[in-house]
Amino acid sequence: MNKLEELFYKSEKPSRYIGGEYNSYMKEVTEETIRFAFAFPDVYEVGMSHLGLHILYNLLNKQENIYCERVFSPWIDLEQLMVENNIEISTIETQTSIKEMDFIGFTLQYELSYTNVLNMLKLGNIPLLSKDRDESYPIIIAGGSCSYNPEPLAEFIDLFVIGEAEESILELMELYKKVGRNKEEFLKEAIKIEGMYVPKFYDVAYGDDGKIISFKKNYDEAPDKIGKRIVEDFDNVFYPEKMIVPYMDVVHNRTVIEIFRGCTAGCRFCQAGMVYRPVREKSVEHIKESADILLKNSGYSEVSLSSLSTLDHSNIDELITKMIDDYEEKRIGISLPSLRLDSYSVDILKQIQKVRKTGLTFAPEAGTQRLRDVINKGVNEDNLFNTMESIFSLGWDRVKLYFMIGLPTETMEDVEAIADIVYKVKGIYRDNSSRNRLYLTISTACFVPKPKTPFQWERQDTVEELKEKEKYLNKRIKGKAFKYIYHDPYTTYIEGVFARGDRRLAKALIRAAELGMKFDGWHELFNYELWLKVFEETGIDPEQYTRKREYDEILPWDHIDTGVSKKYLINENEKSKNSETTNDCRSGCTGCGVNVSHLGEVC
Amino acid sequence: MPILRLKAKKNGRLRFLSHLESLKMLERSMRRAGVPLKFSNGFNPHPNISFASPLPVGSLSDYEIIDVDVINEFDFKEIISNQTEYFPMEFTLMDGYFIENEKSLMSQVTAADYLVKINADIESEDIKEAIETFLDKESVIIKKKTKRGRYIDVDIREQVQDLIFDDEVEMIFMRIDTGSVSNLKPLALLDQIIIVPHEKVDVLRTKLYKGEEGNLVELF
Repeated sequence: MNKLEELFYKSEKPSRYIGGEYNSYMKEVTEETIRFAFAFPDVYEVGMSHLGLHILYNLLNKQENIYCERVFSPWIDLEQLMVENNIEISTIETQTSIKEMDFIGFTLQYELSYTNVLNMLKLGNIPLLSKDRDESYPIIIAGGSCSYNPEPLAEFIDLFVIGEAEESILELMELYKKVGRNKEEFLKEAIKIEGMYVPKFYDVAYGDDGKIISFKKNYDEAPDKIGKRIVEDFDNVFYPEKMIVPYMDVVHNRTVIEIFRGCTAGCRFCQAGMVYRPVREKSVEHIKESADILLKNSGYSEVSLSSLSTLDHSNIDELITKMIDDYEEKRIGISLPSLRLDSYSVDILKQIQKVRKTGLTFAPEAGTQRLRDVINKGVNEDNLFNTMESIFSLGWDRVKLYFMIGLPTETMEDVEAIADIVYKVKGIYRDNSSRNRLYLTISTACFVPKPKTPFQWERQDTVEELKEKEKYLNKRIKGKAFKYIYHDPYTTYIEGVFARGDRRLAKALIRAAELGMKFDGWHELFNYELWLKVFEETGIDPEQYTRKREYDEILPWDHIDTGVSKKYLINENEKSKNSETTNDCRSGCTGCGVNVSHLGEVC
Repeated sequence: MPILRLKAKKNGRLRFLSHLESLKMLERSMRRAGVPLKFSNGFNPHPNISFASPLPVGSLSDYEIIDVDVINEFDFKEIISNQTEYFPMEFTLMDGYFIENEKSLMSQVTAADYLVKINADIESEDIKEAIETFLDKESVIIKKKTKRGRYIDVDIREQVQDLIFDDEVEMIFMRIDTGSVSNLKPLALLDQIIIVPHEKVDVLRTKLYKGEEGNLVELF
């Protein structure tokens, strides 16, 4: 064992760190090699379940002269050993210190991982602030869904890749081959590529009331708005033929096919649904072909059909029939990340359960029809109860229902209605199942208003309000058939601060890093009191970020352009106040603007 | 139904895999290789793959014996010659053959050989002396935790069949009881001989045996 491996041995789960997994890349490093560390700011088992990692890892490694390696946050036990032994954080593949890379590319999937981003830099002995890093350090870039509001990390990251990276990351690498390790010149050239945001070319000014009074570029060549990138020909976009197969159990032990991108439903709370527009599908032939190859090259016994709303693929029926015909014999299961509440879902489920019967998850999101209309969740009680009736009579016992609390306009009446639904579902089980083994999981997440959604101006519920609602449900939902899971409102609050945060939060993140804060998404390590102390010390009023905003306010993320117009978002927000719904855009364009900005045609 | 019995080596980083992780790794490798696995019945069908003796995390092995339930006999020599396409690079299949139903591998194992290399700064002479001291004892009682969480006294001196420092390779050779009747782990024995942090020790399993009429017979 080398020095680092000795530490692995002493850690709780060594197989997180060892590398050498099947389908991982071992490449020769030469003078010409661009070394890229794909950094996931959480532990291995979380990062390895993220599809974006597999896509970009394979895409980059397919290129000659680029070596993409992975780096994850070490769990706290290994981190402590590393610090004690003066060992820097390094890549999984070659155990090279991340400081030696040309690029470190962070993927930002949730705001509560921001402290881990800083902590990883710290563990690599890399200065946190972009302005403190000269040419001797790697260029630090970031992408992922949180970069639609990049501002809380603007002081740390040299360049953000906005939107889908399959094409733009290669353009960026080409540029680096040309320019070389000249950070200033590289950044100045990079902004000529669409979708590249370099925060230091912009200045923000704040008024006495804490609101932004101006956001101006300080470098003439910088674009006024940074438009997200999309892959237009999604059916033929790069998709890996092999995915790394971890040794340890990770969050999702299966292979994944992305069957379409975007979503037509238009739920007003959903950031993904707004920012990943327009919908682009892969053909059944391509999906099936991909699935066959990935299964063969991985040895997994399950394939997940991934998208924001899988059953909305126009040929989902044909696809699933084909897959079941082929995979039943080999005992290969198919998993669907989300199910719709309709009879169509039930028909599909009947097919899928031939191989493996798993628990089912449905998301009514809200308790009353009024509130479901406010959030534009196109589901009614009949849909819900009819679906439950069918699945119970088909013999399912385990169902998970997913709701949100803290939605705009929500009252206790809406919360009470969640409990009413739960008891009604129990009754439906009694009437339709021949057994007595109902296991109903009810999960409530706390709503956080997200940038680039119609609710981006809304006030976020306070910790006390959320606690009150959870307390009520916890009291009402009791019984051995039920399991009530609720989200910690304290983490929700901090998430909300960073979700709609601005550059001033950099001070708080730096202080948090000094105090050794990390893994905020992990309940056992999250420290709310310490966060409040950090805000106080750095002169930040967290309420400033969770408050209601005005339509005419400059929002910290206004310069990022998703293609969906602000006018559309305002209109949607106004409609929500009158519980007015908007149709699914497959049944007629709703005018969000993405077809004009990105396609120049009807999507 | 036939059973495919395989002999394999587990090297390098694979020493860090737990027993369950090793099983998963094998299952996926076999699926990639197209082995006609036989699945159990029930809601979640799974293949039946088993190791003769679970290897402790951190240990290497030149002698892993694995049984795999298959639907029919097939040309596994092809899989062995192309194994780098299907198996992680630090796992090497050596040989194999088919058997028909017999009692479980695990219940047959009675002893194992290990080579133990100490990478810490300790003189060979000191190790030899420590071994002598251990062997001179009539009994060495240690507390062992049972599956039920209770502690029982075990005389590990009785479980040691052979123990010698091999000057040529500068490693300790151990032949110790292994299996369901009497089981001693190499590092548990080492702890009673000399104090070394375990991360400074390389343990390599070299053989597994079954007992036949009082004699040790190699398992494979």
